[in-house]
Amino acid sequence: MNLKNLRLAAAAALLVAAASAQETPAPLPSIEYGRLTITGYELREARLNPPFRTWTDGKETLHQYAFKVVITGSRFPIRALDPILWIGDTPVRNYERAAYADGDALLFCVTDPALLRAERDLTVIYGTDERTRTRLIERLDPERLVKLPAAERLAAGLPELEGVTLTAVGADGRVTGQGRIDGGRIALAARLDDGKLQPLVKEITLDATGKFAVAVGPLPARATHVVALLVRGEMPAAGVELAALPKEVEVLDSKPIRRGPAGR
Amino acid sequence: MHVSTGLLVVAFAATAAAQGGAAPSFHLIGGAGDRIATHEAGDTLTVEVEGLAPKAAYDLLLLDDTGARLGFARAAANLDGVVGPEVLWWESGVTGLDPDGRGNGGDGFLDFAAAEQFLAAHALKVEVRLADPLAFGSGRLVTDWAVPVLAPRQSPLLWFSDGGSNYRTSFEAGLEAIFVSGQGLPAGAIVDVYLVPDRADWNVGDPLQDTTGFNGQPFKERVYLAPGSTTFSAPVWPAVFQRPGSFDVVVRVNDTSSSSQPQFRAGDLLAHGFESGLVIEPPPPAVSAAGLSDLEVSLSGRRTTGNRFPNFRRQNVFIRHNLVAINLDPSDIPANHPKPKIAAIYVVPARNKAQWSAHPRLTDVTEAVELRGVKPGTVALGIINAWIDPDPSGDGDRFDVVLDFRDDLNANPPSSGVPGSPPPGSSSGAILNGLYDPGVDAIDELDGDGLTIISDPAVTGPYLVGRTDYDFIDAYDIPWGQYQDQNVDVRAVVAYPAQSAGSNTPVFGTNERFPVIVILHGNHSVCLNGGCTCGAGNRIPNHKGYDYLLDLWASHGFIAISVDGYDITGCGTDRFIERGALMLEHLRYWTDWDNPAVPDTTFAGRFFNRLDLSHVGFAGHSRGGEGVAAAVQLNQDLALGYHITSAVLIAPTDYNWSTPPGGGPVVFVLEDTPTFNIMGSSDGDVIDNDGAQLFDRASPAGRKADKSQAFIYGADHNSWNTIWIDPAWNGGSDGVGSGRITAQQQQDTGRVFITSWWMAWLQGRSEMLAFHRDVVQSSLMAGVDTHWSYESKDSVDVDDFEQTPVNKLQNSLGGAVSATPTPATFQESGFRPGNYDGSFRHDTSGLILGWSAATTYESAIPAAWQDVSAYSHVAFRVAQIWDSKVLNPGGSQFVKVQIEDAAGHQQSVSVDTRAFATIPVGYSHPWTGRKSMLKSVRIPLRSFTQDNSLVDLTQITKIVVSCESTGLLAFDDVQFTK
Repeated sequence: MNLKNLRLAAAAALLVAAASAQETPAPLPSIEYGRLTITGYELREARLNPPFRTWTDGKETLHQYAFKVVITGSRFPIRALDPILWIGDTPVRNYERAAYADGDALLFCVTDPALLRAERDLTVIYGTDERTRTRLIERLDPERLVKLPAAERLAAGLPELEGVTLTAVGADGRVTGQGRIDGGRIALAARLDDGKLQPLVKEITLDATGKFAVAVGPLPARATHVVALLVRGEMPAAGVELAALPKEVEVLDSKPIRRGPAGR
Repeated sequence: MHVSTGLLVVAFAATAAAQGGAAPSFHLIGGAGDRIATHEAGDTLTVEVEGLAPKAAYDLLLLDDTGARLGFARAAANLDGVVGPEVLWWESGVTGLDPDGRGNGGDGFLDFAAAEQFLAAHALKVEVRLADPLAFGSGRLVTDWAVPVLAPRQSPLLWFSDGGSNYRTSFEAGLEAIFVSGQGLPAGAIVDVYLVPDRADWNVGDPLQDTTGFNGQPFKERVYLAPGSTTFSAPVWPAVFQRPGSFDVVVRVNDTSSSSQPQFRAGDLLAHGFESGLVIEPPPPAVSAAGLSDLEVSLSGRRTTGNRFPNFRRQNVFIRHNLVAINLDPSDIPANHPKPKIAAIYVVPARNKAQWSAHPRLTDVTEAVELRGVKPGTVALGIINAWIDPDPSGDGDRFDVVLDFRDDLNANPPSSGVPGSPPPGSSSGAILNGLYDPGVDAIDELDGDGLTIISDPAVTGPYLVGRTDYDFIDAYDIPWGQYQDQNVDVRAVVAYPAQSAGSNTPVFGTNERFPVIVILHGNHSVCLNGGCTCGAGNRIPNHKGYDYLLDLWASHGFIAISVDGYDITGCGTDRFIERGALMLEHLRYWTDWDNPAVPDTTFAGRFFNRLDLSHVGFAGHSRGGEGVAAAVQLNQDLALGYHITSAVLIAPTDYNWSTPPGGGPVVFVLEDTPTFNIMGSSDGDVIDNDGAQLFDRASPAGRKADKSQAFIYGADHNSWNTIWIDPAWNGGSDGVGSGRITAQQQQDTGRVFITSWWMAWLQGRSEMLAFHRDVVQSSLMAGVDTHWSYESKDSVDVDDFEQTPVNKLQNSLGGAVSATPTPATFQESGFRPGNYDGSFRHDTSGLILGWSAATTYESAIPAAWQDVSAYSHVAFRVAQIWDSKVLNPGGSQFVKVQIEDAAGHQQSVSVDTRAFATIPVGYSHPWTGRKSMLKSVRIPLRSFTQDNSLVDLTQITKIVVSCESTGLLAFDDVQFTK
């Protein structure tokens, strides 16, 4: 078969294929709604223009500023059901979509800073469509907050995020940190190698700059981490699993115990 | 059952078919409705003829070998060219001396022996002739056929008789004992006689419910034949226990077993399956001093597909080209009716009583005036095809059906002299008087709707379609809602009834006003690149996905507007208030464009005074559907004054996250607004069919309006919008699960169901609700499994299962509720997501009933509510709950519904696959599991009163649901309704 004949044959094959396609219409393309492709998140303070309205008991509040949790990824579907960001067990429904790098971003608006606590799970799901439930590998870390310029923050009266960050945990029992809380008390506990907690300090007092430094004494031999807790009720008893804390106790931060020389 | 041996066949020379093509073929139809080979002496002779010209009218003549006419019928061939089954000769011409005991109709053979003797000596043939409208039987011969006859008969024979063994077809209740006689039975046999309610056909396994005991309880008779004897005549129903109705008799021979719930078996002897065997009439009413009153009866309807009672479903709305059948219920005819031998079926343009008085002439509009012989001593006619292919000139034309009985026998010539021969005509052709005679002729709905023929709403209507659009950039600042978006475009495409088809052509007519429809799409990408803003060239025209509906609606006389929600779509949260606000803003524009006092720079006054703004429909798809709920609520709460008189929700969401003016949160409730929700089981986006919750909440007590819901198996979310499934616009189907329907079928559901809803509520054509009440079905919906819920605003809730605290032993009217024996499951429960087994998607509560043995559920009606005569239906919602065959065996489920009056009169109706409604296993959605979705079962109250049940609708004391075997069902909203 010479080249010309080959081309004719190919053309004939195409015609046959086209005819077949006419006889048997291709099925409609199907939209697949599955797990989301999420690359990460950002945490920002944001000025809202126009302002965002909420109502409480019929009373309207205009929010000029808020926090935005920016979920980044690609191909977030646009559908009847809205994506919902679950921070822990609290849904955040207000969002906007925007282009982001080569993909999409879902910018969820949070007006309650108490939601933005360290270590909380971040999960995105469209409505109740379990196919789309996607949990971020990263947990919420308030330290990643990108703040507005200080002057603007001051003028707007933007609150600091509640929470505590452990800055150092020494094997000698010296623990330092900083933070801010509006209610309850900060306590420290050791996390043992079996996941159970052992209380260390029932209440930490922050200084005027929001810092603290305490010596909790010798740490238990099986302790791997020191955990900062927000306690609104009873201090949990020794032996409570970290994953089974009562509702009135919340993990604010957790830091491994530095047992060797720094930089090792 | 009737075994054929020793045939006596006298052949006539068959006449070649006159129609060309294949010769017509004849079939004898047996008592069970099956084809049989031979006519046995004593049986009713019923024939079916195939191969005739569709819609042509024929005369069928049963003749003997002397040419004497024994029986007849005039009928039109159906669209398949078939006539029949037609009864030509009732019980081989046997009438006895006095078949009804009142001297009516006894001019046939005295007994079966006489009939056998006649048939042994004479051959029979059937002639088929083209019908001559003026003279019966004188048209051109088409074909004829020799009837195979067996005489004397060889099968056993059963008949009803009086105490003197005289053949009877009817009795007046309470006057004398009723006997059953038999012959040809095994010598010395033990014979069990069951006298059972009439049904059209019988299958093995059907219950044998003898009705001759006290208060209708079973009391079968056992007869011991003397040694060597093959005949009997025994009283089976004492006068004191009799009740009016229609009945059959079943005889079982030499049965040694006993059963408290006997069933029809192979080998049982059945008298009168296809026809009614015995009619027991109520005592005749006193004759009114004012003369005979009209016999207003329900006549039109269709055969049900199965063998459950009743076998005929009455309806008075039919789609063009769909067969109209008629059936006369003997209950409707007083016992002192003269019971003439002939009935002619007329369908005539509707008139009211006054018009009938002034103009009693009957002018038939069908293929032919059907003629039938009436069973002697009764008014029984069977089910008759009255109008094969209705195709009147108008849409919604109304007609009356009249059964023209001969009321003056002397005005017609005597019979041919042959025993059993009715007098079908005279040489002058004056077959019937052709006049409506009050008190003798039966007529449907004298001042009511009668019979209405409608066009399929999916067929293009009578108006040419004009097209236009408008586009005002950044024209609207939304004043309500959580987001109150600013600079929103006001843009739409429009279709309207026009003087000529095309763009911007004048509106049809000069001063007609047309109802207005506004539709809004849902959430979807707005830009081809997936962004939130883009130039017009890259925008996805979401609002043009309903062009197929807009064009159809405009052709039917609506001004249809599809709104582009570009600025509030695709890139942010919910915005239902904002969506509703945008729809209302468009309506505000149109209010101005209708008003000549407002200068119109857009259309130059084209629509001045041309909109019927008192009839506005709002429709929305997906989030647009919830936007419609918001718009209706805004319009009412803020007293905006628009007349949104109907709403349509297409696969709507039901977020309930929005915040209306004044604060929230809000749960949208559609009040005072007739609402239709349509959604698909295979929705891959709104996977929980949220619209079911909007439907459930709609029309609450005190703010009621009719509401309808179609749950369409296999329909997805997107296919109602052609843009959303168009790959050129990045579209595609989201559908999941099995049994998917095509996009064309899905769009046809919109064409049929939404258009009919608009016609009903915006054009005042209430007959179009027949589509939503599951009374008629468009041919386009063949193969589309649609499950309906319909609730009328005119109803009384016997039990809505919403009372608090929960009390399963008391219904909403305060009546007692019981279930016996104690069911496996008997509880009231929420049907909301997460309730019970998690299979529900509703926003309502109901009853869950599970049983593993025959169980009855009774709900008592307190005295203050027992008069339900103002209503037309008993209705309830029901769904199967799938429990992996623990209680629910799978497949369609079956229940019987019974209502009972204060005197204990009762009637049951079967609810199953083959009559009234299916109760299917819930759709198995691959992502959410099986959906227990409630659907309505609406049973005409007429079904409970027919066949002289004596059920008094002014004194209904209880509703009883009977369940057999095993099952698990959810119930809600038990109502008497319209």
